Amino acid sequence: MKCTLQVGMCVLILSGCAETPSPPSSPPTSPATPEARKTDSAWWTPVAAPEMQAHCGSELPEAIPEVNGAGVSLIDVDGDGVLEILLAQGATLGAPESGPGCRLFRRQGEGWADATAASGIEVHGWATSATPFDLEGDGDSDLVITRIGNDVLLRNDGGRFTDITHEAGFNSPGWGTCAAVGDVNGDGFCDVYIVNYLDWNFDAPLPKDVPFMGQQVLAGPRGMAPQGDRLFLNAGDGRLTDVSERAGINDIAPGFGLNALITDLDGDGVQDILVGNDTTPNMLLRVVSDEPLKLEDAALGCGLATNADGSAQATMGLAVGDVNADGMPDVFSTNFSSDTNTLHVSSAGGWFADRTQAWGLGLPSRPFLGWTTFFLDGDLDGDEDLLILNGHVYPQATMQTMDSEWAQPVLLLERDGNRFARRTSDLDHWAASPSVHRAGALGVLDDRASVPSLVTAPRDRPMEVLRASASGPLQRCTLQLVDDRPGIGNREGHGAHVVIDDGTRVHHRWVTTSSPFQGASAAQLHATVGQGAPRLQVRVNWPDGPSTTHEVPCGPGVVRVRRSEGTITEP
Amino acid sequence: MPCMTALTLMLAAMTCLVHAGHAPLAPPWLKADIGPLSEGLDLDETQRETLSFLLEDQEIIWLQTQQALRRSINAQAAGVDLRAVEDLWRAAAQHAREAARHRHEVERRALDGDVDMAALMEARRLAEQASEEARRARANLSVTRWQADPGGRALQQATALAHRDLEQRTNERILVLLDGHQRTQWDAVRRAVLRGRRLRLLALTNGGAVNLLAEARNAEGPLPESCELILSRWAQDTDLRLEALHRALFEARTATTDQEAAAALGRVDELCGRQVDDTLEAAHVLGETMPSLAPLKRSILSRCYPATWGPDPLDSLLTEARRAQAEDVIAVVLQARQQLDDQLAGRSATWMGVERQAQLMQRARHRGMHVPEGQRNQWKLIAQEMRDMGEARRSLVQGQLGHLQRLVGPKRLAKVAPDLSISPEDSPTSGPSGVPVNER
Repeated sequence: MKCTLQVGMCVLILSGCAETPSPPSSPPTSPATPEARKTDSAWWTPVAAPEMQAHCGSELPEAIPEVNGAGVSLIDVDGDGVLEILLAQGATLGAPESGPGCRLFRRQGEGWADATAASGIEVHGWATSATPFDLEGDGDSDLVITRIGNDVLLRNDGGRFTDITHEAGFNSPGWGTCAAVGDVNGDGFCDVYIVNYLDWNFDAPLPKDVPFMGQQVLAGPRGMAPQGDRLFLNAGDGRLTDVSERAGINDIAPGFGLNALITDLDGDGVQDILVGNDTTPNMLLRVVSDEPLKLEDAALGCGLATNADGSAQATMGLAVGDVNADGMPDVFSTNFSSDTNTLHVSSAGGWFADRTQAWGLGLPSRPFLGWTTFFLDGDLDGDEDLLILNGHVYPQATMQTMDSEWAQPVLLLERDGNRFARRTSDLDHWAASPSVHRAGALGVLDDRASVPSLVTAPRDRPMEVLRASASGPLQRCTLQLVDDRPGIGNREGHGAHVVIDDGTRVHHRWVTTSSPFQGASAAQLHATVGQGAPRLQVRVNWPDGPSTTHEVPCGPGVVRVRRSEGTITEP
Repeated sequence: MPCMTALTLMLAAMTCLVHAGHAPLAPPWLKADIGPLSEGLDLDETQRETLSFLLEDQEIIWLQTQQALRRSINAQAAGVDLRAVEDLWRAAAQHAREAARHRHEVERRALDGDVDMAALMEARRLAEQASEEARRARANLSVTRWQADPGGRALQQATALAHRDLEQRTNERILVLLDGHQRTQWDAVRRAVLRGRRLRLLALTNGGAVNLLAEARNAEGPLPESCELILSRWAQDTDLRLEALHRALFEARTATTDQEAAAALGRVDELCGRQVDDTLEAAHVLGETMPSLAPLKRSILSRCYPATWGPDPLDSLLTEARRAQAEDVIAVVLQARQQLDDQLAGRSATWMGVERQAQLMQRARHRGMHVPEGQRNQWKLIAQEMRDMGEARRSLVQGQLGHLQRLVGPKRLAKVAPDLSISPEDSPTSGPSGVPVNER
């Protein structure tokens, strides 16, 4: 009897304990929850890539120019809707002027062929990034190439490039890490913001190694002199004018710039420039005067300068998305190991609150040193996940010495309700395999399809092309803006805010091609929409002010949203 | 909100004060301009004396980020008396612990055969009720988190400004006050050092010194020669704190349930000065980070889990994650403590143990200064100590918002900035949680 009673008691205790307290109060707003069930498949599948390993100094970096690796960009050189890959390579410390230079790869059957010679691209030295944009409004993609040295401007004439650096008045010396393009002054043409890193002299002796967590590592950027950035306005006549002095850029304390994007971050209808600086506060350059053009750094006042601790971070990569579905851009940045990547969520009053921990993005990132990052729906469930390419700066890095490894896996962070969680599916072999990643670019390589691919140029292995998953409860849809007004240069709508409504959910996207580290993605917008959504309602807030609404099909292939076909609406 | 504007005003006042003679570095959202704080403040004699110490030709940079301050500002913005809410939560948590202990005692007796069904049911009902009350009380704390977070905003900007200021100072010798455990302190110090500054670092708490050394070690090794660290021994609880840390760590590692581990780690977080808001956020998802249950028989624990505290929505991942994070912190703190001891022994020439608080106060009294008992006069003690150290040229650059409140009363605020002052009508009588405001 006693035994029976004891068993009964245990059952009673267990059953009583099964009553659970009510959950705590709910976190902030949740975006629309997809109704469809998820299917498990690899998010990224390797496909044929250019058979080449990007070059940037020695195999293991010994000085800071060798750290950042090569730049990767996607460009449609001949306007046929099929993207080429442009690799911006470094050189060697001993011969910084005679590196392998830039390489252009064109699709050839199932593979890729080196088309550099035919393209006329002859840029050597220590190149860091290549950014396509339409300089003159003639419909083809010209190029600005940043280098450690003088940056280069190439004009595209029907698929063949000509160096017009001097002719265009483009004088941009220094260590350019990337160029952001966008219509800063609202005249319809793409202006160019050159992000500079630090003063470097290849002829000077290499700086002595410095101690870091008990190891002697290469020096910098701390202790070195940061370089100021430059803003070039585009008059539309093929010339770029350096307005850094009169626009107030030179008055801003320089940072160690690594990347930048141009879009309207505060929703005031005017383009802003967000600059990600390494170990120095980020900058948000707001236009405070149109004529003459004047910009001021507002990052401290809006929270984007630092993380919530007030600490400047490394900010290797930037991505813009809308995690809380409020229609305002939120900014995700990748940072150093033992630090966290940071999510700045826009909130009332123009303040970007550091909500990294609340969204589950802090702890998963601490062992990793992140570079390129994208918001993209990996599992086709309707919300945007995160992809982060990782790899340490110091070859000496091990978990024992620096709590982080030299070669690191790619982080796939799956959106789950109001948090992100690291995806560790066995299917993602590529992501799980440690590598030393740096730059990457995203785009639908052939406009007859709508599935984007990721192109990367790791330090320790040949280039990679990964195709995003196409199987899931929803279908992919890719849009590309076309500002087809005559004589307009910002034809791809750089900086535009696009609202895509498929009838069940609303997606907010921003055209920011330059934000991945040292490169440029295609000016395309990716969304996942319901399988039964034949047409999409699209509203475009163009960077020069007006808004247009469009009804477009959801494919097949990349859907062009032409400004002339839209109905002008109130912004 | 009026309370917030008052705090904003204080920060503005401090910024104005700080940058007298320099280009203003006030963040754009600070609109108030009430002129230098030192002009005609309505201070009592002690406050005026204290302030004069602080302002007398000194250049001091106070590097401090206090999450407690963030909570405090947020609570005021939300019209919540944080102290009262915390007191309620502590009382509720204590009650919950006692109820749980009683319940487990009854259950233990039941398992031993002494079954009193009525007592058991009643004990369980009371324990669940107490637990629920404790959770509600804890949830009230988080009301300060889901607001617009003006405290976090103020803190972020103040810290960023202080760091920038430290970097841009041109004086050869600067005294930096360190408080708390924020890793960003070393970051700012390192930047200044790399720019050729010579710094004297006065750690107001041993925790601040430990943290600084930990970060220095993590980053680049020993403290640079251009830094002189002065160790204040005001924080007499340091050894107790470390002992408690050891104990909490041991409890975390030997915990038999995630809840016990979470509770122990909560204490570790607190002892290590971890960001309380992060802990709250974690707790928000995990459920409660409540004080641990009374020691139980393992057999009962294993059967009770996880029902006592409800299912873990993240399947324990979060608890595991927090455990890993906290252990990292502990390792760093303990290593740093070892390093601190070593360096104190080996480099006595550049280290100076400053007198204890009581001695300081006694010395101050000898000089005819009026020093009331208690903690209210740390400003004065700091100022006195700095003067004794012979610092020649100092000015207050970034101050502690919380302490500043003691120097500027509502009366003064009403006089200098009537638009921003707090009127009695504006003061809420109770916060959202129903806790009376300003009751204490």
